[in-house]
Amino acid sequence: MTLESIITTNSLHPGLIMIAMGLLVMALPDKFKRPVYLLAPVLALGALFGINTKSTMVYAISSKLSIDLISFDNLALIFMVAYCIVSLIAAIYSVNGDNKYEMGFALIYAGSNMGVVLSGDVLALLIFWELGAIASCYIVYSKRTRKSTRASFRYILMHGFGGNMLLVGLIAYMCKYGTEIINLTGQGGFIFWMIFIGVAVNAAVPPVNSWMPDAYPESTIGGTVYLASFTTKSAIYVMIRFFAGTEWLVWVGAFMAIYGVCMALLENDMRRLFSYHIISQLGYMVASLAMGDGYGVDGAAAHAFGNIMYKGVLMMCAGAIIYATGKRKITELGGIGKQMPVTAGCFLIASLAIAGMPFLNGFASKALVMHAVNEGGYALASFLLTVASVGTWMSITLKFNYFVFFGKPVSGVPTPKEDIKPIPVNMKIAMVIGSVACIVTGVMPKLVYNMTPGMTDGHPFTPEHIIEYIMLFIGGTIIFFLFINRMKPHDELSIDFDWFYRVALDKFIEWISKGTYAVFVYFDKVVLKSCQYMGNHLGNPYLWTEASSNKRVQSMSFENEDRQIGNVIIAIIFTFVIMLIAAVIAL
Amino acid sequence: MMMEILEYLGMALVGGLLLVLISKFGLQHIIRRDCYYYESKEISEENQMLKKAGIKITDKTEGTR
Repeated sequence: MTLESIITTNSLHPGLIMIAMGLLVMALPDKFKRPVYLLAPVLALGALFGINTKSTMVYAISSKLSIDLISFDNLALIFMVAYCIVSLIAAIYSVNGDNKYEMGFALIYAGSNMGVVLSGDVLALLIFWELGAIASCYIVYSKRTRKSTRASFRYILMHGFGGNMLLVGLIAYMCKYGTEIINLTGQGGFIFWMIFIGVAVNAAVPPVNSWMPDAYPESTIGGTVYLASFTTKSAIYVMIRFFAGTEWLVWVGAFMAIYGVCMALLENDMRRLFSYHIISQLGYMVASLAMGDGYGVDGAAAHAFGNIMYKGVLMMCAGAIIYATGKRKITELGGIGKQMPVTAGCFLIASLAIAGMPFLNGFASKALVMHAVNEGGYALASFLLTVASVGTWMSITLKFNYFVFFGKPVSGVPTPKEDIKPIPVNMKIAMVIGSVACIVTGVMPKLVYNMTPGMTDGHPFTPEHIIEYIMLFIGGTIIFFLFINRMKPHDELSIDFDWFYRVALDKFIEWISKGTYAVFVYFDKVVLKSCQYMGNHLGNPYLWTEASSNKRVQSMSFENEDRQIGNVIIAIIFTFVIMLIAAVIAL
Repeated sequence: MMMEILEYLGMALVGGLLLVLISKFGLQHIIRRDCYYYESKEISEENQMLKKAGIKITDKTEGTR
């Protein structure tokens, strides 16, 4: 069988290019790793230019079964553009890395997520989904500290759970609908829920969200940039494909938005704080996609695009701070804006973008999201999402910039100048590119709107809309400074839903095993005593006869052939017990 | 326009206050724990298991602080 007969294609696959380059990075000698690592996203971007709606890549497993690796439309376009850009930015940022396996797995991870987006059927989706989970697990593990090792173990357990749910759901789905991806809105039932749970794990929907603040901060500084960009956004993409228009998801999204900011307000670890903000921002996307085609899907896709940009910058800035100071908690830092002007500037832009500051990309995509939710008639959900914007402003834009860069440190003492080492140029370049992307797509939102499936226009720059956000930020600022002492983070840990499997489940399993052990010990004792009794009394019939008050019994003799009578009695009783057990089982 | 400005400002003040109440006055007392809440439990459990197995306890705190 020739290659042409099993693969039918007219395009290059950006995801497969990334995966192949990832394998190459790991296989080649160390001196080649950096050029290949940088070249991979450039080639993927080049391949993306060659893809259109007629592109195809079909791999025939047998005459009856094939995998469709490329199916392209505007929804895939906006995610693919974001993925290629962020892959390039992340590669520039982390090109100085030493661990070629981490670099290789980062490319495989990015490529897998591109594969998910381009999947033409559920088989391709499932394969790339699982490959992405494995690759991301290594990225978490690659720091190789005790914490990162354990976090990666919990990460793979959670994603193993989600992956299995998805697998079961998709197998049932294929039996019913075939391999084509169709929207399941309004279906309900086993298939709907299995797929939803599987996707919800990756989308960090509470209560299956805690893997993210658990794992992301434990990875390397470069690894976290990759992690923050792909898994959750691919989950949103799959949610759009399967569940766009499922209206009750608007409440899930609103809850996620509020939950994320409440947790972020408490958080002290930089990257945990940003992880909670990812959950909050995912809430906007979930709420938007719940509203279905048009503004709903476009809002979710545009917000995912914007989120990939500004969240990437935030994670890169956090990594730069960790690189420069060796510290990762807000309470350990303060007043470093002057010593790290590029990082501080980029962070300011990204933190304003995530809050929804006019003329930055968050503002443009939130316009679509809010329009969709308001149009759907969900006033309370709209209010909750607006409150979440105020919370984002307070918990990241004000809190972080004030306590870390420009304001008064929590400890009262600014980080000493000599404790801050300069960061490499490549890291600065990556942060600046990301920040420029936030500004450009914020000032010219049509660049993003035109890539969305419905190409809807959010008309973000109306006076009313701009005034709305400015007033929200003024209100948030007043509250922030009114409660400034309360706003100070503390060097503590927030327990999340992971408590249930890290403590409660642990205790439950301990209780079950100790209980089982106690039951077995009890029955062991009973059986042992019975055997002793049987051995003593049936093995030696004189113990019975001598103890009897009956003279005739007392005078019984078991000499010679009668001596074996005890053994015969044991054999008879044993046979009887066996027969009794067999009868009970048979009945 | 003035009414809208006041409406949004009011919404921000009420919303911001609600978030502060929920997180800083509510959740703060319920879910905040010592930084090494999980790690200290894990390390002591591991040490106990090693002790029971008669294996020498080495430093298990690497990477936790």
